[in-house]
Amino acid sequence: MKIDRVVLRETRFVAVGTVFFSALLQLAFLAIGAWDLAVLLGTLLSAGAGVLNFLLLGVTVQRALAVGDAERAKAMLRLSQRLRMLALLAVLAVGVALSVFSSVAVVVSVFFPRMTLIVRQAVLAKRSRAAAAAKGEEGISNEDKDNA
Amino acid sequence: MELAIALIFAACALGAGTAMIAGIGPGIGEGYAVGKACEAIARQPEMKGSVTTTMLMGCAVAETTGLYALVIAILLIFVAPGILGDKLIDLIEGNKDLIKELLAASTGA
Repeated sequence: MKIDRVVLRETRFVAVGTVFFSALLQLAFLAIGAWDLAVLLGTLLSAGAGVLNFLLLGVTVQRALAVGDAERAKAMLRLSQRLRMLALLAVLAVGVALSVFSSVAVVVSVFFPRMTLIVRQAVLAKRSRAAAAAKGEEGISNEDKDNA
Repeated sequence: MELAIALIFAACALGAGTAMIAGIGPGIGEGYAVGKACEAIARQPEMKGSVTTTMLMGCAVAETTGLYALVIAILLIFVAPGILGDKLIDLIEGNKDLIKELLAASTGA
């Protein structure tokens, strides 16, 4: 099955944001003098799992929307969510249990895709507010012109 | 001491299990959202791209609560028993005399 263009675009965006936040985490660890290879490996494992989780979510949403039947779509997404959570649980358990990975880096990095989306939503909301404000001002100035 | 450590392990396992109850919610919410998105696309097929994007964002954000629960459960299973067990052992080692006195008082010796 071919992955939808929208899903790929969103996943790419999330991946870029995750890489950015991962770099920030490495810098933070370097700044406090606690950086070692385990931090890098932990970040790679967890951030990779987070992005893969998002891609799988996208593929599931695409398939569910293609089905067309609302009830089947609901069931598909519920099953997918449970399976993805189990997979993430396994990855996190491996990351926390093995000393090769830094536990802190593993736990923090799994939130990077979400943080990217939250930042994106905040930026989009700010832009739409600014656009609405500009539109409002334009409307007021047009009314002034009409009154004059 | 073994009983105390076993109690800590049991409490951590119970806590992890309880935390995972939060994993149910996102699945239900996402399913509901996708169901509505299907209906929306059936009404306006030309909006499929926009609906898919919004859906993806919504689902990812909705899943965050499940992720919090997952992380809490992982920490309770893998990290908390070690830290709490060590603290308990330190506490017992540091207060051996007091514990002996308490045990003696409780047995009436």
